[in-house]
Formats: sequence, C-alpha cells, structure tokens
Amino acid sequence: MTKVALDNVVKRFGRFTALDHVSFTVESGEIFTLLGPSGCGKTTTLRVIAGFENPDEGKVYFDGEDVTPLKPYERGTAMVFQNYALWPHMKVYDNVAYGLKIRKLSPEEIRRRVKWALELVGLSGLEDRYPHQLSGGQQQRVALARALVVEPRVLLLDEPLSNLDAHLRLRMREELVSLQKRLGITTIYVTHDQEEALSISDRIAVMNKGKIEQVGTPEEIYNKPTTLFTATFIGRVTVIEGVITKVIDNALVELKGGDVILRGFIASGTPRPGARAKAVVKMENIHYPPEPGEANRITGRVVVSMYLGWRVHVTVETREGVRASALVSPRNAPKRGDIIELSISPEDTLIFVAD
Amino acid sequence: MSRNSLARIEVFETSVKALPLVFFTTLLILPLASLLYAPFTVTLERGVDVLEGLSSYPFINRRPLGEFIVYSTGEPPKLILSFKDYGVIPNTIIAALIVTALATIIGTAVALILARYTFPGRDAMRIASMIPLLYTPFVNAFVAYKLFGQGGILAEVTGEVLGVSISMQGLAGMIMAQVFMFWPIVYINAFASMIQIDPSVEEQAENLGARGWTLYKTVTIPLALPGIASGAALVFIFSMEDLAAPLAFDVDNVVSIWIVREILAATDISQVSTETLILALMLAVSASAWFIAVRRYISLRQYATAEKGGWKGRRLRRPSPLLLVIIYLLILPWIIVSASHQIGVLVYAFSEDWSGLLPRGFTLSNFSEVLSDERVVRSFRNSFLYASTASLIIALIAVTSAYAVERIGGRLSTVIDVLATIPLAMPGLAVALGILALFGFTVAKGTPLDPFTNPGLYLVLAYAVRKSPFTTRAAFAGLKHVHKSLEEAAMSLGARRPKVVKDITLPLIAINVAGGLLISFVYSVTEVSTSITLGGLNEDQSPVTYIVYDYLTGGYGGGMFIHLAAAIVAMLMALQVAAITFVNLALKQRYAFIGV
Ligand SMILES: Nc1ncnc2c1ncn2[C@@H]1O[C@H](COP(=O)(O)OP(=O)(O)OP(=O)(O)O)[C@@H](O)[C@H]1O
Ligand SMILES: [Mg+2]
Repeated sequence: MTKVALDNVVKRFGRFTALDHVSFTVESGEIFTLLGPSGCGKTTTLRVIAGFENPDEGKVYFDGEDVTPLKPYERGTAMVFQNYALWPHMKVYDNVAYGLKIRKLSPEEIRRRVKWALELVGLSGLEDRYPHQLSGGQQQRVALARALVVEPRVLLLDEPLSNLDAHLRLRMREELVSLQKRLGITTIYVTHDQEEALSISDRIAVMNKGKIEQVGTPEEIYNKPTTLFTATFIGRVTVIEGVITKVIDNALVELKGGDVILRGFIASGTPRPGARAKAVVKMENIHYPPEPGEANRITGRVVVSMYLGWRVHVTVETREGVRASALVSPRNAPKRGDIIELSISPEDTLIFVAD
Repeated sequence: MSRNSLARIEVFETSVKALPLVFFTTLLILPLASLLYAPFTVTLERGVDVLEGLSSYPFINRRPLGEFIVYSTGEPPKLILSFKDYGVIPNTIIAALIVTALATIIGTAVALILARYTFPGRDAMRIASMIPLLYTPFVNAFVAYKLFGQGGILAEVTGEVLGVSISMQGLAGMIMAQVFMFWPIVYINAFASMIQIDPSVEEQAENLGARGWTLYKTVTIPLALPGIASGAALVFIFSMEDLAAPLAFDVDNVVSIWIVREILAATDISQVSTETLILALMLAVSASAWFIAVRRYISLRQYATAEKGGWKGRRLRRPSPLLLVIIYLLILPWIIVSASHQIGVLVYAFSEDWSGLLPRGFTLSNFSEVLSDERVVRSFRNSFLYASTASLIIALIAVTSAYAVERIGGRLSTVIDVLATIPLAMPGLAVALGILALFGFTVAKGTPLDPFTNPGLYLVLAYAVRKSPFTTRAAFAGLKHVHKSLEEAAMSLGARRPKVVKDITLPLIAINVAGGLLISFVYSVTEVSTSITLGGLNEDQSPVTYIVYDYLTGGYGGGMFIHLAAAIVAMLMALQVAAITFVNLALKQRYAFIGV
C-alpha cells in the first residue's frame, strides 16, 4: 500500500508547458482518477509517476520517499497502456510471467502467480494464445494481469477501456473496480470520460491545460465545482452570462443577464455589485413544468427540442436572446415554438465571478 | 534534458551511441580527413604548384580537343556522336550534370505514367523497369557499348536501314550508357513518392479544376519532389564515381578512372600524387554536399522502405490516344533497351561469340571455364568471406545506430543519423583512397596491417561501412513499427534497458534486420569501387568484382574475356534475384533497391 504525492511538478516539451505545477496526493489503496479533455496532460502526469518522463521541476514521492531520480524499473509501478502494449512475440503466459522472471522468482512461484493472475481476470485456459488471437477485451485483461501479477506498489491505467465497445466498457469498468477493491492496490486512472471517472473513482482530479483544476470525491466534483472549468466540463450545463446586481449576503447574490434574473450561490470569486459573472446550472436541475418552490424563473420560446430517448433536450430563448437548456421528461415535452416557463432552485445556481 | 536525469550516466545508452560514432569516425571520417592531410603538407612545401597542376592539362583543358559530331564518308557513311575533351575535372562534372538531368526527366516521366495510368502491358512494364536495378558490375556498360558503340547493333541497323551508320563514342557514349544505367534510380524513388501521395489531395485539386498536366505540375510532382530529388542526387554521385561506362567507351579523362589507375599503380601511399588525393577529396566533398542538401530538404530514410504505400491503384486512369502512342513508341522501347543490359549480360554469358549483330553458339562453357579457374573460385571465396564478416559488423552497427537515433535521441543522435546514412552517397573511390592514406602510412609498411599488401581486412571494413545503410534503414523501419509502449511496459515491470532490448526490441525487429543484412551481404559481394582498388593490390585477396574488372581491362588480354566476365556477373545477378525474392516473399518486406 503506497501513498503517492506529486509536489509542484512541471514538465515542458520544448517551449510548451505540458504540466504546470501539478500537485496532488493519492491515498494508499484508493482509485484516483485524472480527468480532463484531450491534450490536458493526463498521460504526461502518469508517465512522470511511472518514471518515463523526468519532470523539469518538482518531485514525486512514494510513501514520503522521493522517487524522482529513480528509473522506471526501480519504481515498482506497473502501467497498463492505452494500446495494451502486449508483446506480440510472446504468448499470454509469457507476457504475464515476464515481470516475475525479471524479479527472478522460482519457476513454481512464477507458474502459481501467473495462474492466480489469469484467474483473477478470468482468462484461465488462454495461456498459450498469442495476443493477436485474443479479442480486444481479452487483450485488455491480459495487460491488466501482466501489471497486477507483480503486485505493484502503484497501478497506473491510461484510458484502459477506451478501445472497447460501449457494452464491454461498462462490464470491464465494474470488474476493474471490484478487482481493485479486493487487492487494494493504489491505482491512478486516466480517462477523458466523465461518466467513467465519476463511477469508478474514490477521488478525481480534474485537469485542464496542464493544471489541476479541482481535486475531490465524485460528488464534490459533480455538485460543488470550485472552478468555472470544472463546472462546465462535468455534466450537461446551461451557462448564463451577466452582471451581479445585488449581494444579498456573502454567499447569495443576484445576477442579471439580459431579461433573466437569477439568485445563486457564489462558487468562486469575490462578489460585488457590477461585477461580470456566469451562472452555471446542471440541466437536470432546470425544471419543466416549473416547480412551485423554486425562485429562479426563465420564460422563453422553445427553439430546440431534441429527443434523446430517456429525456428531451429543450432549449428556450428569452425575448432578449438569453438561452437556457433543460432535460425534460418525454411525457410532457413542449413543442418548438411553445412559450414556456422553466424553474431553478437558487441552491442549484452556481455563480462564478470573473476576476 | 531535465536536471534529474543528468545526475546519472547511462552506461548502456552511452555505449550504444559510442559504437557507431567510433566506427564511422575511424573508418569514414578519419580516412577522408587523411586525404586532406597529405595534400596540405605537400602544398605547404610545393606552394601553389599543386593548384596550378590541378588547373592545367590533363585536369582542366583550356583548349578542348575533339568534336561533338564526327562524320566520315565510307560505305555506309558514319555519323558518330562524340564529345569534346575539357579535361578530367570538367568532363566529370559536365557528364554528371547531363546524366542527372536526362535520368531525372526520364525517370520522373516513366514514374508518372506507371503510377497514374493504366493500359495493357503496364504491369509488365513496371516489372521490366526494375530489371535495370539488378547490379551487373562493369559488364552492363560493355553491353551498352555493344548496343550503340562503334560497330554495335545501333550502327549496324541504322547503316542498313538509313544508309548512315549512327554510333557513339567517348564521353557521349559514356553519358548515354550512364543514363541507361542510372535512370531507374530516379524512377524508383519518384514512383515510391507518387504512390504515397494521398489520393484525396489530387482529387481535391481536380475538384477545383486542375486537370492533366496542370494537376501534375502543381500537385503531383511537387509532392513527389523529395523522391525525385534524392534519386537525382544519387545519380549525380554515381555518375561521378562510375568506372564501367568510361572503361567501356575508353574514356580516360574522368576523375574515377584517374583515381583507380593511380591506386593500382602504387605500392605505397607516397606514390599517389597529391592531385589524385585532392580529386578524391573533391568527390567526397561534393557527394556529401549533395547528400546533406537533399537531406535537409527531406529525410532520405523516409522512403527507404517504400513498404507503407502499397499499390492502391485508386488514382489510375486511361491515357489519351496521343499519350498511349507515346507510351508504346517511346517509353516501352526505352524500358526494353534499359533492361537489355541485363539481358545482354546473359547473352554474353551463354554464347560463344557476339561480335556480329546476333550472338552465335549457345554454350555453358563460359560458366564451366570460370568455375574451373582457381583464381575465380578463390575470388568468390574471398568475396563471401569478406561480405559475411562485414555483415556481422553491420548487424552490430546498424542496430546500435538505429536504436540510438530512433529510441535514445539527444544531440549526438543527429550526428549518428547522418553518419549512418551518408555511406550510401559516399564514393567508394574516396573511401578506398582514404583508407590507404590513413592506414597505409609508413609505420604499417611491411606489417600485416599494411593495406597495400594485406587489403582483405580493409575490404571487410570498407564493405561494412559502405553497405551498412541498407541494414540500418531496415532496423530503423523495424523500430518505427515497434511502439515505444511495448518497451516501456517491460521497463515498468522492472526490466532495465539492456534486458528490454534483448527480450522485446530485438526479437521484434529481427526479421527486418535479417532482411537488411541479406541485402547488405549481396551488395557487398557486388561492390565495385573499393573492391577493384584495394582488392587489386594483392591478387590472392582479390574479391570477385576485381576479377570481372581484370577480365575486361585486359589483365587477361581483353577481347573474348567479356563472355567469362559476363558468366561471373550472371551468377551475381542470380544471387541478387534470389536474395531480393527471399526478402520480399519470405520476410514480406518490400525493398526498393535504390542503393544499387
Ligand atoms: N513527447 C512530447 N513532445 C512534445 N509534446 C508532447 C509530448 N508528449 C505530450 N506532449 C504534449 O503535451 C500535452 C499533453 O499531452 P498528454 O499526452 O499528457 O495529453 P492527454 O491529456 O493524455 O491527452 P489524451 O486524452 O488525448 O490522451 C499535449 O499538448 C501534447 O501535445
Ligand atoms: Mg493520453
């Protein structure tokens, strides 16, 4: 069980800064996810932890020990690559046994542990296949077995499910979590799929442009975003731009955007009347028909009505051109051109003040 | 590089880089530098003499002799294309420029037609256009002489048909022969570039209204320019160092012949004139300049393996009637005549006499005669021994160079990249003379290390240097296909770099390396420049190509010996066909055999 810490890690490629003072701590035994858009530096962070990239500044600690100068083969991490990186010239057995042979275990011990690992991922009986004789999901599990069998201090997973079809991805996701919980290996998981991140993680770090935006549990990330980026990146949201007209108390303010007036709670920034700000609301918290107790109201004409199956995505436009979207039950979905009223609770209205 | 990694010196990485660096420095850079050393000291002593020598006859001929066209009355009257003799240096440069220009135009045109049009006979033409790439040392040029030299087939036919017998001699004949020998180098590179052009790029241009020649001029040819340029650069270099065509057409005043004559007459480096050393240096410098200029523009290795493209055949169209006429009346005969070098070699090898229009007397006796000649057998044995020893060295150098460049990186890797590929363009004559200049100094005299008495060792080293690029490119292409994460996965499981290389990298590129080695081996056996210079210094250690040269230049009395030389070369052709077929079919790699 290993605790991993990054302390102000900076990584540059030429003049481009891929990681900009990245710091976070991963508690031992937890699944910690790096979530962010493509190119934000997730893989680079993982590679710094694995030792494939040397940071230009900052340190990496395992259990308080500075491992920054250590080579990849000295760190005791095991990485599962996005493309699995199975060795095509070795059978499944030899792929999985490789790390054990490096550790110079006895042949019986190797056989025993390979058997254990293949059982763990449900691949017993495929020892003699070559990687190209396996399906995508099986390959992914071999890669996982190869990493787990050496009992790494830290397991590093770089978008391990992204090459699988939607069904398999869901199943492997569950298997992965139950496996990790059983083994208790500290796991750092990279994905750009927010649903995946929310469902498997103990904690999530949201990354953007080489920086950590926010670290927190899935609930915190989803419900209490502390930055505008996190708020808009996670979930489906409606954003209304405007100016703060009233500071009711330190947390609650009133924002006016066009002909829309909303009350909401400050998520970041210092509120003062006249300041530019954005209100961010998760679409599922925008209600139609309006709920009686909710103070914020938006009235407009339906300009978009998109059927999604479980919901209908409805966008209204107010007289002054402010747009807001809601996810409405198909049973009482309005039609295009209807004039409707939407309601939002101030608790669900997050205000980000521009600095 | 980050501060953290600087703290620890990597023994493995350092050795991998050091090996090719030391190898090429000792066997390529230092020998070439020694060419400079001797002239420098002599020039200090003799002052401007040397430069004056180089700027007068025979090096530069201020009053060019001869005529471009010689007409002689007779029955039938003769029209002989000839050339003025401008002296060794201008002759070489003018010839190389003309050869390059013609070979580039022809090679590009043929590539464009074969890459973009479909018509009956296209596939046969594509295969036929590869035949000239089979290396047939020396004899090819003598076949060219048979075709359009004096008393040759062209002269006979035109004499009969037109009443005027047309032929070529001297520099004109040499230029013609070289165009025939070298145009496929441009063709193969241009073709490889053209089939790699994304069809949608051309479709987009067509969509915007570009058609026919406009399309080619504005899109296709510019995109294929890297291939065309590198082919052209190689042709220029090969023309300058070619020996076969000047020998066949009896041209004395070119740099290559000049250098060979001096080396073979010397028993000691001090007997080689300063002027010759400077000529060799000029060859080396201009070849490097061309090479580096082209590389700056594109990277040579990019199309070293044309394997990526695959013939998609998506952009094939039907030629217009006019173009079809041109294809059948000009391109087709041209390709047939080009391939006739190789055919001619076989005709010579299997016939008793070919002094008239048609050969006479099918025979196998040429083969039995050369195979019972102990000198020939010994030379074959020598060549195989040298080439296989060289291949062992090449394996090591090629894999380390490719690994250093593709995987380790860093500043020195650029240097290694250039060093490992430049031998392809470096004239072998300069390498040979450089080796003599560096290792043939007086302290080595009389010892087993004296290249003048014991050239075998140096032939091995010269082959290893000159033919390593084929394997290096193959290893490089192999590494490109082995995703880095395969190695990183092993490293993250605790394997150190040497272990990773042994367990993961080498097994995965082994096939590529094996294919490259086979090609390196075959081209070592057929190597000419160092073989006939170094190899001629001690007959016991001569390789097979020296014997071919010796047959043709009269060591054996000349004349009918061309049949024997052709028999040897026919066996070398068989070796090449076997190796290339094996690499293509068994190892499933496509080698554009551009190195020639
Ligand atoms: N070796 C490199 N040289 C130069 N730039 C690099 C290198 N590796 C990564 N980068 C750049 O650093 C940034 C972060 O890359 P990284 O691979 O970490 O992104 P990522 O978050 O994993 O993206 P994705 O979701 O697309 O995998 C990118 O802009 C990328 O172009
Ligand atoms: Mg990534």
